[in-house]
Amino acid sequence: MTTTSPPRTVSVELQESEASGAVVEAIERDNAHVDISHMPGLVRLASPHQLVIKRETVEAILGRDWDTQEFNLVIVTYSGNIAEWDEDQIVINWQERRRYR
Amino acid sequence: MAELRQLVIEPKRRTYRHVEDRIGSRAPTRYEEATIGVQPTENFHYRPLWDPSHELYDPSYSRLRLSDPEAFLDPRQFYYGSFVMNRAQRGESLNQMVTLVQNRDLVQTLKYSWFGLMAGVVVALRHYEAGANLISINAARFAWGTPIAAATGFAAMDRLMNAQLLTEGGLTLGGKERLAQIKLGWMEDPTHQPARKLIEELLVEPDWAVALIALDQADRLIYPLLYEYLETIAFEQGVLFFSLVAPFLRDWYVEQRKWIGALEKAWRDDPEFGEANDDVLADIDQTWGPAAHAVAHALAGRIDTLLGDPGAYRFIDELIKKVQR
Amino acid sequence: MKMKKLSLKEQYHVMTRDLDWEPSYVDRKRVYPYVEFEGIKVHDWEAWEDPFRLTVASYFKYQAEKERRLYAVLESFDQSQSHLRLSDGRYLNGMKLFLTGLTPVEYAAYRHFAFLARHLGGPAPRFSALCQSIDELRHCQTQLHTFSIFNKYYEGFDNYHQWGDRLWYLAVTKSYVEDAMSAGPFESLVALSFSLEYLLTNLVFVPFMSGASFNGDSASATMGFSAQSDESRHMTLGLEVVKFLLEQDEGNVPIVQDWLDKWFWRGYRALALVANLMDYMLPTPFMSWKEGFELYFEEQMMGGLFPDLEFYGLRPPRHVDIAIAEKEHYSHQTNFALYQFSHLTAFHTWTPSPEHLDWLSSKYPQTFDAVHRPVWEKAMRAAESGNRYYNMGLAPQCQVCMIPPIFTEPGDPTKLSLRISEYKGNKYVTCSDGCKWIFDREPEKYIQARTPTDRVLQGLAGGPTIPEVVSWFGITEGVENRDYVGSGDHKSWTEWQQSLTLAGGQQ
Repeated sequence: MTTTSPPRTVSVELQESEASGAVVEAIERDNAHVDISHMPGLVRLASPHQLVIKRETVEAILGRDWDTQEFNLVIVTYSGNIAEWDEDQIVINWQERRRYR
Repeated sequence: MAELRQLVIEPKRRTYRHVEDRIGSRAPTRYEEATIGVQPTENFHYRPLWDPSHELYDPSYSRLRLSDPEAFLDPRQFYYGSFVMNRAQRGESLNQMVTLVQNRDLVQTLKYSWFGLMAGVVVALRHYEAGANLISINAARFAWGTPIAAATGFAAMDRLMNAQLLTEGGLTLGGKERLAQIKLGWMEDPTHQPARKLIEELLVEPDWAVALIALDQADRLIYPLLYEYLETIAFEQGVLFFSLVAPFLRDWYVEQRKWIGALEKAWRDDPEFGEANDDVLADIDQTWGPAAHAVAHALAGRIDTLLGDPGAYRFIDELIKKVQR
Repeated sequence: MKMKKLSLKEQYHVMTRDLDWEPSYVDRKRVYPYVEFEGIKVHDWEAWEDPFRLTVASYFKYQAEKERRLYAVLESFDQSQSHLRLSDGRYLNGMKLFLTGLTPVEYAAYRHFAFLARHLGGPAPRFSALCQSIDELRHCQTQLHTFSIFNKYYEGFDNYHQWGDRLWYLAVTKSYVEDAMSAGPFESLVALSFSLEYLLTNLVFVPFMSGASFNGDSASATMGFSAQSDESRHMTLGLEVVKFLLEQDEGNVPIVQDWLDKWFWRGYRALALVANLMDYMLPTPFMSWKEGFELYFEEQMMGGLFPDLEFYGLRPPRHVDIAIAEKEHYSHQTNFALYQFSHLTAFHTWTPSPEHLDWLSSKYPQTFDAVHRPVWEKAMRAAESGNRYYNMGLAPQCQVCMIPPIFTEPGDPTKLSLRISEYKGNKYVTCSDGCKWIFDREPEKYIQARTPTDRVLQGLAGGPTIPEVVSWFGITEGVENRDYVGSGDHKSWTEWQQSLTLAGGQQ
């Protein structure tokens, strides 16, 4: 028997700027249940369980090449674990890690 | 449309008090404003658990002392912003050269001896640079005063940048497998043991400034050897794989020496500690000089073997005489 | 043959981990002499994960871009005299607290992460620490450049060096970070990376940055947002430290737990200054301390992070219940302490306006009107009759957190919270169960600290009279200190705002 706990919210806060516009849109496209809120200068995107940012999607919106490392320029803070960050995507979630010993 | 008005307000002051005390009433540079008088200087609450014989900031972490910690100021005037912008710009130009080397597959043009020089001599020093990073960042913690701490902190980033550039070179020579071979050379090849030994011993030298200057002694032989002597031959022989990228390291070294040279001068010229500092610097020469020479001779020997010419060894002998204080 | 491009993960490995080697000419224990004395066991440094995987070249590239954008904003703000468009002249007193209290912490972190970049036992965490070290220098220097704009026109910024080293209330943040710097490498990582940069980070930065935004300070707001993008790397380091240590050996769990208990509490006490700022020092407030604490700590951390860490055997920090109980009173008690001792502060204080008292009532409906409003109304009456209240006594300071005993017992706002510890025949005052627990655990450490009050009593602060102490503090009487009303800043502000109005206002 397993008990399911309610999904924990994962979020990123980005600077509200031209640079982040495409990233915001890409996140909306690639994540099913995104909750967006605004504070002065900031946009917060929240999702149950996981958020993924895909390079291909950002590039399609921007109309130019985009390096996932450019995410460094717009991120302000996040809540969750950065589970993966490679040349194609950034994945943030709350996951349990295997105990090492 | 209302006219755009500017209210004329006389500033009460130009800058922070410690900065003004030093530079007077003129406008400060960004470097001065962010460097002078920044480090706390008194009333430390606890001694380090890991070194209770010192305070948290303590001029006695080194035998080399300045009676005025801001008698040395970085001639490059690097504060964080100007430093990273400078390095980013250089990095862009360098990246173009590296891309060229890789896209044109210039590794294919390397004759056996040059391949041996690149892999067996130049790229192996990626580990030397990694060690230099640790020595520099150690100085950034223990130096007294922000002028030295900042310059050594930036130098630590530079050394790692150099190590990563050399690593990129190693990848171009044959991927991860080549780097593994090169690392084995660092660990076991007689050519590199003087350098590895020097770095390891400097990592356990307790005086941060002694380690920094001893490292600089080795740099003052290695850099001219590789990035002037060897680079000249590479250029003459059309070895673009090396000579497109080498100037980057040579220029870096020239700039590095600017601030270290200024620091040494400040130590020597110090009105209170100048004589004592002179003695310490002479002591460093005696203690670490032979090790630095051994590093350079070993590298020069390998270069000469591969090129079939005793020029490198002679170059180092001449250079040692020149840099002798 | 074209070069095979490495994945980011493989590239990171050759660019970071693979540069390291096992020394043979000297004993490894001599190269890394500080990694064992704390009792922490690390079996495999390779297990350390860094998702950012920067190279130095990419670090330079992105950081340079951030700097370019930031300095363009700072220059524009400066040239257009935008300080005139702040919500009110009082606002800048919060930024004086930032410069004198927080910027030195950034500097200390810069120097201490340099220590970690040298002395941690694995190349991957050393690299993360290296980047954080110069990130912190970045924060320190961008703050100095930002506040330089205000320093030209307002008091309370220029002598930050001396104030930081000597002022009694700045001992709160100075002692906090020096406690971390003097600790071993693993404890200091829990103190700074986990406790400050992860657990409590939003409670530090959101108030200052949003406070700046809401009050027309686009210079500080931009600087803050720019710094925050570095903070996401620092947060990651903080969380990674804790998970790494807990995963490496079960024996590490109780050690880390103790550090978590200590550093949550020390960090929380240091944040009293932030609580004070949020509730009292922003002419246009945006969020109360209570709201912030409930969202950023109770909801996000207690409700989000700690259930996650339970998996590793970690429980929420000791004394959290006290912090939760104190949230009704924390900001009020702190601000009133600063208010009454404002002859000894290098920034101005003031009685809240009636509108502001009402805002505070709305944010603290259960307690403000009963407990704190009467205190302020009394202070307002005294000020109006020409007897602005200054407490001419000398308050002791907690031997751990350096705050005078100004907080009340949880559940009894009429009783001051005070604790005494005896050690080697001497009595030491602490402000709470939290600080007493910290003191009793490491008395040899905390008896070293000389509180500014002790210094005054021992004749080490310029002299026996208040004017001598003020002078030793580096304060110029009547310039940086005392009430905002009637101060030089107030006069300047009023004069300039009037001139703007006469000139037809700014578009």
